[in-house]
Amino acid sequence: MSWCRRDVPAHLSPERCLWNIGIVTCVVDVCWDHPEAALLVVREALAAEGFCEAKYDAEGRRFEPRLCRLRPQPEAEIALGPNDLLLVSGGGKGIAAECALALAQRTGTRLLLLGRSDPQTDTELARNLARLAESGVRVRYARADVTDAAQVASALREVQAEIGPVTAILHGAGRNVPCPIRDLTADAFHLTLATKVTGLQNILAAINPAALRMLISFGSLIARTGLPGEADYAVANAEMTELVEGWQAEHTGCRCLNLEWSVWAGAGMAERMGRVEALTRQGIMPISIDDGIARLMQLLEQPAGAVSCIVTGRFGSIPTLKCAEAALPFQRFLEQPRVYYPDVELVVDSVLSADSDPYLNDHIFAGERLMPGVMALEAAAQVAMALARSATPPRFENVRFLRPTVVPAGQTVTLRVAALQRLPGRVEIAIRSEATSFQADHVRLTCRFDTTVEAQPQESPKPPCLCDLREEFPIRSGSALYGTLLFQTGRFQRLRGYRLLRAKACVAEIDAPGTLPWFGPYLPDALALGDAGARDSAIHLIQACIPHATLLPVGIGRLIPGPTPLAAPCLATAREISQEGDLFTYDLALYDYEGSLCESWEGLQLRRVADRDPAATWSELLIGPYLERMLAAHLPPSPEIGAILTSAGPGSAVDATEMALQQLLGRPLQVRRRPDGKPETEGGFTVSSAHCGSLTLAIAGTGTVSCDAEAVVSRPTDIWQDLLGNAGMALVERIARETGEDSHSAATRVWAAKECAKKVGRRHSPLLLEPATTADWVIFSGSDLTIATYACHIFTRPERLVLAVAKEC
Amino acid sequence: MSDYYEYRHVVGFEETNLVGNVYFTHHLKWQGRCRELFLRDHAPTVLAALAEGLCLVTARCSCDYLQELAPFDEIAVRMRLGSQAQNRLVLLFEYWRCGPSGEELVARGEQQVVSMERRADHSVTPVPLPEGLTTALARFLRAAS
Repeated sequence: MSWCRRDVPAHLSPERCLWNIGIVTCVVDVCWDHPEAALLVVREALAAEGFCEAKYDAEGRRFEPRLCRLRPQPEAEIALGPNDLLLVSGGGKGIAAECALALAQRTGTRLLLLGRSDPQTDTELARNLARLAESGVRVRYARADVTDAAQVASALREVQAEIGPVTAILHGAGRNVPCPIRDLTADAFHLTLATKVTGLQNILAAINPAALRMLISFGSLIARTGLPGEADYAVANAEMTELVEGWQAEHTGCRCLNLEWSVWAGAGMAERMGRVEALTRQGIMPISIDDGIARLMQLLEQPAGAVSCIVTGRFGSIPTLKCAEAALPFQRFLEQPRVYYPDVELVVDSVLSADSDPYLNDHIFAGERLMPGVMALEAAAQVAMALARSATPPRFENVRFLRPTVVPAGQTVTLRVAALQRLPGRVEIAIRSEATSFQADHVRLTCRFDTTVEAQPQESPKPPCLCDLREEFPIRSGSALYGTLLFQTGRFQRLRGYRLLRAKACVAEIDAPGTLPWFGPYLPDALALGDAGARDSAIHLIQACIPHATLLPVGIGRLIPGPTPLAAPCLATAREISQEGDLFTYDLALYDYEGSLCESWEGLQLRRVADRDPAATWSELLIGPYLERMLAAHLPPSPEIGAILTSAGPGSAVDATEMALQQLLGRPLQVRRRPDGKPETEGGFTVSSAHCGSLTLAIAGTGTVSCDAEAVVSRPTDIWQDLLGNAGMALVERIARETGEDSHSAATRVWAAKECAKKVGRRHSPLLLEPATTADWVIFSGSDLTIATYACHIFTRPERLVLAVAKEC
Repeated sequence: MSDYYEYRHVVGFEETNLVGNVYFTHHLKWQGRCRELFLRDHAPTVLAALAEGLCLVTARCSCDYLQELAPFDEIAVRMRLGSQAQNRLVLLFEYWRCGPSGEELVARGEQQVVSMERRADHSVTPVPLPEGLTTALARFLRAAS
């Protein structure tokens, strides 16, 4: 607890005091000799509503107590060792025994347990002592009633004479016999006080204060909160706190720690009294034994700090135990806080609907309004930043999109974001939904604000087409992909086009946002992470690299936002890191037009959720990446072949080839022609191209490769006979029978395959049919060549098209 | 201390229709009257802020009519706080007819009020509820739970 400067409030809100409804309680702590003491007290009493507690210092400044999260200091070794003797009162059983055992094992300190019970008759005590001894701890048990000064003095005189002075104390003794305050007798009250307070005084009187290096006392949160039936216990613990704080003030060389525990599970008073479950029902989370011991160790590792520390889980809303105020920012996803312990935990609900969140109408997949992953990231950022009280966005780690959040038309769905800051600067987030009764995580991730890892986006080598930032760099428009390959509309439809589009890499441009607001007119519109539409485009632009499947994001390894919120227009680069079955992993980077890195993503995982209809018509843009993926499967593997199908601009076939290859390789280059017409270029590539009307198919590989593109045209049989010969016609018949396709398509395949063979000087090599594999693909072999042919429809041509690529084995 | 704010009203001829009972739109008018008098009594700073760009926008408004009202009925409109989040609050209204033999619930109403601010360019933008209002709500209208 710490005291925070506060002026007398004009009015305090009428809190519901848990146990004195309607009674105004005002606690004022002011020096007797303060000249205006009486005035201060009267002013407090007049202003008070509900419960109010205030303290005035000598200058008359006013303070109110607030619960603040302890800021961890650099760790040090616990100041106990094998030469120490730790006296544990009430320590034969329960939490003190567990903590003593853990301390002895950790530091090697000897233990001296002090208790009333006789191990001969108390089996639980006997078992615990045996367990301590078995675990290798040097332990002594001394019998004494701590409330009896003479017993304590004589027991400790004897033991200390034998094994040396007590150097540390863990005072865990306590008496907790719940009793309604109206039935509480003076004797019972004094007995409870005697164990906690007199007991500690008796121990301190029986040891050498100069030898004492550590004093730990186990108090209770009840001292701060009260609890029905616990009036005596609350007073006893409060007085013990004062005693230990007083001891610390007089003995600066002794490390004093008064731990005010809430309820323990599996040990401790509440457990023995069978009250843990009742408390849990009130929303009070018990501390597990392991967790409690870990907290004690953590606090002892702090070289110095507050004497009184509260260790608690959620404790509900209690007027006598106020948390330090921290107002939540005015943001969309901070609508209705349900649980808020500043710096520790924040659970907040927001009600989503197509009215309040119109972007949902722009993200309808398979007929369902899905909350986009980028908006889940935005919600997580808003909540994490509020909890960590950070003005800058976090880095995201281990993002898992586990379940979609669907918001049906005309309905509302409550979204719940739960944030927990276990370690400073590290906020764990879970996003849940009313749709699954808040019983399943839809998104899970960690937000990091600490600076221990790389805080800046990671710069990786830029692709050549990114180094030239001229806005007029030739791009291939991506707008036609919306409505076919891409389901996003409106606010998310922002992909302008590709500077480079390959199966495993792409560079794309993202347009500036439109003027549509993200949220309804009554909701705050600011986004902590900036342009969510641009970010969504950065994910879905990868779809063109894998055009034959529908992908949804399932996770992100790490996302590092830039120093300023993301703004578009911007450039995005994506690179495939791996593919395992249906799971594709990509790295992403976003750049502004100055070439500065704005945001980087590592390990974005996309899962194939559906396959493209094989009969569907293609955008010519997507043929290149599709061919690259399929050629890698059908032709001798490695080195891979790059492919592109593009509409040539005005100019000669040479110009068209040059432009296509520039687009394929993403950099300026020059194409020369060998006398036989074969194109050549620098950079160690073998290139080939074919033209079909205004279309150009170009490939780049190494070794012997060639390509051809032919429109399927109906020709009389005798013309085909002339073009393909007898063996060719037999092959056509075979293909038509095996694939069920029409003879003109089959004939065009054979013709295109022959053209490929001719381009690499194997005009007369016979072609053989390889086993059928994928629909629409027919593979031929001819001497040392493998030739893959693919027949498809594209939007820009009425006829079917056959594309063929040959490669030497 | 009561947990509601009360506005009292006596029905007049101008509020009745041809048949002689109270026309339905007047109930909504009384909601507005109750709301503005609450501000006058308990949140005068909010009234001042309204002159400086603050807008309390009614985003939703409803009324359930349980009984007919007639001229000279004495009505108590009682306003409670339904819920409060960010810049939005829901006010709940109960309309009681007060007579010599006691009180009778004659209607229920609800409205959502949103705090907005009018900027120099005449656009309105959401702003958190003004402090004067939240304090008054906490003091005089207990949330219905």
